[in-house]
Amino acid sequence: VKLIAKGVLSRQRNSLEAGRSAGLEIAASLQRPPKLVLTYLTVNHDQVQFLAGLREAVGPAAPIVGCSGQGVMGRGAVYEDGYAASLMALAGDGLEVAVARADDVHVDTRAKGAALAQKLRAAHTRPPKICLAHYDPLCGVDLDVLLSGMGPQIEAPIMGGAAAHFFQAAMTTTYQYFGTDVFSHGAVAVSLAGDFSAEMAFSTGCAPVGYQLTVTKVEGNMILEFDGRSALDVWREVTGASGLLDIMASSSVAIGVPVAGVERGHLIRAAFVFDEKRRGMLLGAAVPEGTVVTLYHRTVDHALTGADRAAQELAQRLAGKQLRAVLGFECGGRTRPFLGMDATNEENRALQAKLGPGAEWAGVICWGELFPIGGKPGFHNYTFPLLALAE
Amino acid sequence: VTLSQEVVDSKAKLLLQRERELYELRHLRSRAEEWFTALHAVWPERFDVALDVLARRATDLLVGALSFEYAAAFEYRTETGELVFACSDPVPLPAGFQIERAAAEHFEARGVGRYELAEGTDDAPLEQLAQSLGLAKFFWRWCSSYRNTRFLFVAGSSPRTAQFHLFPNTDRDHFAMFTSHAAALLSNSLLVADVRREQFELAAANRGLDSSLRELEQTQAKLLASTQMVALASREAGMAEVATGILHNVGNVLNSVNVCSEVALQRVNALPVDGVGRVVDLLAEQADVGACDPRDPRGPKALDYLQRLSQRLASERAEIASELGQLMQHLTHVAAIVSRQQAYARTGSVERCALAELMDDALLLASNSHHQRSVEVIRAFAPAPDVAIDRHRVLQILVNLINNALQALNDSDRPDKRLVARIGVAAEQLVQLAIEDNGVGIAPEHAARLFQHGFTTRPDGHGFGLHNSALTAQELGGVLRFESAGRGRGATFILELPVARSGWDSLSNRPRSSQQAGHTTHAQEP
Repeated sequence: VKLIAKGVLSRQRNSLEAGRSAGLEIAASLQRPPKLVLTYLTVNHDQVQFLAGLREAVGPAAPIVGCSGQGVMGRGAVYEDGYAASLMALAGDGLEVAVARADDVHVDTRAKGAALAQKLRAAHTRPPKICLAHYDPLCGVDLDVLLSGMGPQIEAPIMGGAAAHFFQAAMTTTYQYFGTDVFSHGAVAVSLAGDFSAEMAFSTGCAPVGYQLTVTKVEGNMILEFDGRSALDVWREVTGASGLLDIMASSSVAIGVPVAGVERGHLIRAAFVFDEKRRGMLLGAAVPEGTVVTLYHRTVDHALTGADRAAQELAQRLAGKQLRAVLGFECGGRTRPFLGMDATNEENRALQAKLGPGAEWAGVICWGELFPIGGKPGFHNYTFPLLALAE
Repeated sequence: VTLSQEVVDSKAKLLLQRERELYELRHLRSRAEEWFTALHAVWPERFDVALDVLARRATDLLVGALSFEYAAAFEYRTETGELVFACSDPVPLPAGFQIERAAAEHFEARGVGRYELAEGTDDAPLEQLAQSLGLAKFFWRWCSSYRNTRFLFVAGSSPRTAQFHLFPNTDRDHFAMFTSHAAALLSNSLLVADVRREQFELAAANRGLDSSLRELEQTQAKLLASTQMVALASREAGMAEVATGILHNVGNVLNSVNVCSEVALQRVNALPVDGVGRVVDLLAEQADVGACDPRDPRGPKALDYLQRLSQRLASERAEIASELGQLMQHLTHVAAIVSRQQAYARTGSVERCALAELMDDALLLASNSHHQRSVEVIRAFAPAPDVAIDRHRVLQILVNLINNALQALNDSDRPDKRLVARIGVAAEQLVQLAIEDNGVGIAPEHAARLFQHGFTTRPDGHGFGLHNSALTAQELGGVLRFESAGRGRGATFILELPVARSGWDSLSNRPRSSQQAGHTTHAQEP
């Protein structure tokens, strides 16, 4: 068997037991040591305990990579509350796996991204077919820079998403997992090579409203001014928000950033931290001064029809292949706070039905999504990338 | 229509503002819906759900559906802080946990709140509780219970996850609503449990009362039966006492009569009648030798008279002696009857009886009837088991039947008067005693009324005998019936009685030699 997969969706509350039983379920299903265990947890779980239990069950050699999420998704459900875990274990004779981690990626980002990718690439005897990456979006890392470091080295499409925690007004800490290590301010990545195919699709669910702003002052990922005025003042004026700005004032509006070489369409970005002291707003990647950004609004119809279209495209590309596993990295700005849990679950169940009820399914609700655009790695917000692994 | 950029921007901003408002409303609604869904989910499917089930359901919802890292529910006594009930999710309570007095007073004073130890808060009394539970932030809600204890709900985060849960005021209000509702359900659960317990106890008491009542009824029935038995026994005892007294007096008189009879007989036998004969003989001899004046013609006549007188006296004495002898025989018979009656005159009781003995006694008791003199009495006793029965009452029936049979024979003109006393087995556990006669029989028109109280065909009859006999037979568990081919063709009265098991056993165990001889027929002495 070239590729086999096992997805596990857990609601157990005792973290150690939850990790152990998930690992045992994987071991029982695969009947061989997994070559990779992708792990996504909600932050109510004691992350260390869960990974300890998982390690105990899957053995010392199985690479464990993952991150905390706003929620997790699996076969039949998306959970953004309480204790939840989603795991995808991969094995098979035709599968090559490499894993790597980088710490403090907000510092010397490009070099660390390059090193991360080099480490992955070096572990393969052939070019990987896909690279998955997760990182801490709250450490101030410029994802465009990180991806620019990784992209040339890995020679493979990069997908994945930012680590997260429950959706609330304040964003504080996210976790990345490498083996049984739980850490923040870092990035973890995994690359897959071998006799399988990796198909990708994504949707945004946003539409431009015809309002544009020019970025006139930036500092790293933070936009300090639009059109020569305080970014926060402009944002309050545009959104009508009063008082302290929080994620509510951000998640309702998307910022379209033009892509070099692409005439129509934008990279969809969102501000997720408002800095009252510096009067600026923090994004997941830097927007160069002078950039004219277009404001987008988000509609449920756009989100749902976009996801359906992405699934159709993916299904067409998978025609004639044996779908083994699907990984989803849905934006936390789409799910609970925007679609609501009922619509989120309906959306995911429809996608799962469309792509094949037999495939293993796992994923994470994240704060920033990675999906290649124009042949280059891209960082997005409010999107829903899907990765299908098939034979 | 070409819109100016200013209009476009204005509309765009308006749209974005509406989007933002909508987003906030969606988010708030989403969280409110989660609380309402949980509120609905905690509602029990039945109102008799146990407190622990409801409490666990509430804490499960707080952790599972509402995302709290930890939740607990307590019931405790205000005075001591002692826990009556506690459950926590997902980790158990620390050993020895109890509500501190300071915390309890804090809860009582405020009702609901959010704990977060920080400057400017008055949460210090809860610090110990927070540390015990390992919580950095939590909502709490205090409610009084039906049984004068307190319910406390807690939902919060450890220091590890406190940063991920903001504990906003909207959540606190929803928490207060949810836990108030849960507390009401818990209190109701206690009420239901108490009602059910009291119902159970009441039902148990009712069952006890029912049982006592049944026992009382049984006792009453036994008492009634016992009273009836006592009354019957008393009456019988009284009657027996009277009968015994009478029989005793009769016996005494009989003794006197007997003695007098013997004396009379002795005196009759001692009468000097023979001396008269000898004097006559002497006078006759002297007459032959001329002792008498041959010239007086009255001499020979007197002598002749004296001779005949002497013979007559001797003859009369012999007849009187014979009559006295018969009188004494009859007195002896009467004494035997009185003696036997004295034996039966005591109060009735169930005892093991041999049927042949019973029948013989009945025949003996009836044997002084003048009707019996010209009647051939035949005993036809087949082997039969002993019966456990009131001997006296059976004897009453049999004597009555025998007397009736003798009466019917006496009323008949036929010369071959015959009474047959039969003993046999009617069926398993059923013996049969029959008195058969070939007397006047029973007219068909009388058959239906024969056992009725007061019905009689004899001028001197009372109509009690057969009625009482039939009733007695019923009381003994048997039946009395008759068969008759009609007027002038005799009748048979059959008494069927149940046999105690021991009776059958006695039959089967009895040595063959001691059983009654098969079918015996013999004549009764007149």
